Amino acid sequence: MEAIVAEKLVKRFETKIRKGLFRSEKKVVEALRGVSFTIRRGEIFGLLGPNGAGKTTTIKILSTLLLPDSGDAYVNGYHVVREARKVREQLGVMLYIEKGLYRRLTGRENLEYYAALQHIPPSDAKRRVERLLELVEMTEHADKLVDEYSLGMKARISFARALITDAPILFLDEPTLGLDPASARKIRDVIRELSRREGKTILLTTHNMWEADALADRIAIIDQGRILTIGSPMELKAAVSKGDVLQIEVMGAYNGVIKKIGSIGGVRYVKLDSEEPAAQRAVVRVGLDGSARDHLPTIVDVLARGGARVRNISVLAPSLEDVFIELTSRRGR
Amino acid sequence: MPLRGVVKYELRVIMRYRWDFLVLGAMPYLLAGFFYLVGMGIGGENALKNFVVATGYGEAFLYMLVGSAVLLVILVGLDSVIGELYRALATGWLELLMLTRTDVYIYMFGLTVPYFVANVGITILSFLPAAVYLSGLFAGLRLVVALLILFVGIIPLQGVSLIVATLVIRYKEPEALTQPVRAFLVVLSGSIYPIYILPSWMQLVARVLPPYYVSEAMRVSLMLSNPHLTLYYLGMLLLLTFFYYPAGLGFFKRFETIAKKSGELSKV
Repeated sequence: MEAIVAEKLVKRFETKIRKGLFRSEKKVVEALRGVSFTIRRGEIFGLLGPNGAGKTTTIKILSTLLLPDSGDAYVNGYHVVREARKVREQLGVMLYIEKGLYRRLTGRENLEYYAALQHIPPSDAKRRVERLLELVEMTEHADKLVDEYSLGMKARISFARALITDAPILFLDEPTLGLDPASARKIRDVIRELSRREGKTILLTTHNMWEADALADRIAIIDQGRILTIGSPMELKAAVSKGDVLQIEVMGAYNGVIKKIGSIGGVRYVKLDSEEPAAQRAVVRVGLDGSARDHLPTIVDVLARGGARVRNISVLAPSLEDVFIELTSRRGR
Repeated sequence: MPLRGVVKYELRVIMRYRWDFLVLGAMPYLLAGFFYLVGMGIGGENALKNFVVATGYGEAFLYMLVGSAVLLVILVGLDSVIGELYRALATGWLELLMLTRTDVYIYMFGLTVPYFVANVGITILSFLPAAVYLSGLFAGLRLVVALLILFVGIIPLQGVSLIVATLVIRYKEPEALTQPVRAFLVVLSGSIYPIYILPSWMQLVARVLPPYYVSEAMRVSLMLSNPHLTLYYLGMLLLLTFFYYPAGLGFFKRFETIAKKSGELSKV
C-alpha cells in the first residue's frame, strides 16, 4: 500500500499587485497545476524544485494546513480534507527550520511543551525529549534559551520536534536550508537513519540537487506547479546521459557567445553556472547529444570567434542539476 | 494534559520575565494619581464633594485605583490575545499548533489561565499597599470576591479580544485598527468616569460589553459591600461569558477556514 497519494492537486492564490499609492490589481497565481504522485511506505521521496515551484504548497496541503481547490490526497489511506484529524496523527512535520520556536523557553522546554500539546504524558515526554536531544546532539545546549541559539541549533530543535510523536510519516520542508555544514550533515544523517532503521516514510522538499541525490530513493522534479518527472536519481540521470556534459571556464567577452553555443547542432542546453563580471570570468555548463570529442572543436571555435578565451574544460557525469536544466529548458524557462 | 502543559509553560515564561508584571503592578497607582489630580485641578475645592454626589462613592482615589486596575486588565487582555495570535501567525507557530492533537480552542483557553494569574498578580500588587493604608475597608473576603469577579470578567473579555483579533489580524497593520477599538473599549468601560456622562446610545453599547460590569462589580464589592448588586453584576458577566466566549471561538473558526483556503495561516 502507498503511504501518500496525491491526485491532480490544484491550488490558486490571489495576490494584489500594487498600481500606485491607492490602486491595486488582483492577480491569480497558480501554485499547483494538477500535481500527482505516490510515495511508497518506507521511502525517502524528494520533491525537488526552485523557489516558488510549489513544494511547500504541496506539503501544506498534505499536512492539512491548506485546502486544495481541486484534486485529492491521501496520507496512510486518510483523505486530507475529509479526515484531517486522522491525517495529522500520522505525521511529524518540520515546516520552518528556525521559526515556530518559543524563544523565551529553552530547547528542552520547547520540546516538552510540544509533547504536551501532542497529548504525550509528561514522564514519556521527558524520556523522548532526552532521546531526541541525544539524536540531534543538542543535550549540551538543551537548557539554554532558544533566543541564544544559532540557526543550526534552532534547526536541530525544530527537527527533533517533528520527531516527538514518533509518527510513521515525516514531512521535512527544506530541512537544511541555510545551515552550517555540520548541522546540515547531522540532519541528513538522522534522516537516513530514520528511514533505514525505523522504516519511516519521508517526504523531503529541497532545492539542493546534491542533497536530493544523496538522500532520496525517488525524486519528483517540480517547477511552476507541475511535476516534470519522477524516478530514482539513477533513472533520472540515465534519461539525460545520452551525451556528455561540459563545464567550460571562459574569460573575456563571453556574454553574446553563450547564446551562440546554444544554437550549435548537438547542443541540448547551455547554462551559466557562475560569473564574475568584474573579472570577465564565467563558468558555463553545456549539455550535449553525443560525445564531447565530436562537439568540442566547434564550441571552442565559436567561443574564440566571439572574443572569449577558454581557460579550462571538464567533462562531467550528468547530475540532477543537468536533469533539472534539461527538463526546464524544454519548457522554455 | 495539554491544558496543564500550556498553563505550565506559559506561567514559566511569565515568571521568567516577571519584571514586566511588577511594572504593570505599579501602573494603576500612576494612572489613578493622574486622574485624581486632574479631577482636583478642574473641580477645585468642591471636587471631592461633587465626586461623591456624582458617583455615590466616597473614596475618589480608590475609585480611580479600581478603575485603573480594570483598565489595565482590559488593555493587557486585548494586547495579549491579539499579540499572541499575531505572533503565532508571524512565526509559523499557529500552523504547528494546528498540526498537534490539541484543539486550538483548548490552547486559547489555556492561555487565559496564566493570563488570569498574571492579572491577579497585578491586582494584588495594586491593592495591597492601599489595603494596608485603608485596612478597615479591605476585609480579606472582599478582595477574594473582587478577584473572583476579575476571573469571571476575564473570560468574556477574552472572547471580545478574540473577536477583535480575528477581525484585524488579516490586515497588514493590525495595530492601526486595534488602537480605535482599544480607545472605544476604554471609554465604554466606565473604568475612569461613570458611563452616565456618555450619550445614551454609547451607554447602551457599554451595557452589552463586559468591561463595564467588571469595573462596577469590583467597585461595589470592594467599596460598597452590596451583595445584591455584586451578584447582579456577576450574573451579567456570566451571561456575557456565554455569549462572547463562543462568539470569539466562532470568529476564530471562521478565520481558520478562510485562512486555510487563502494560505494566510502563516505570515512567515
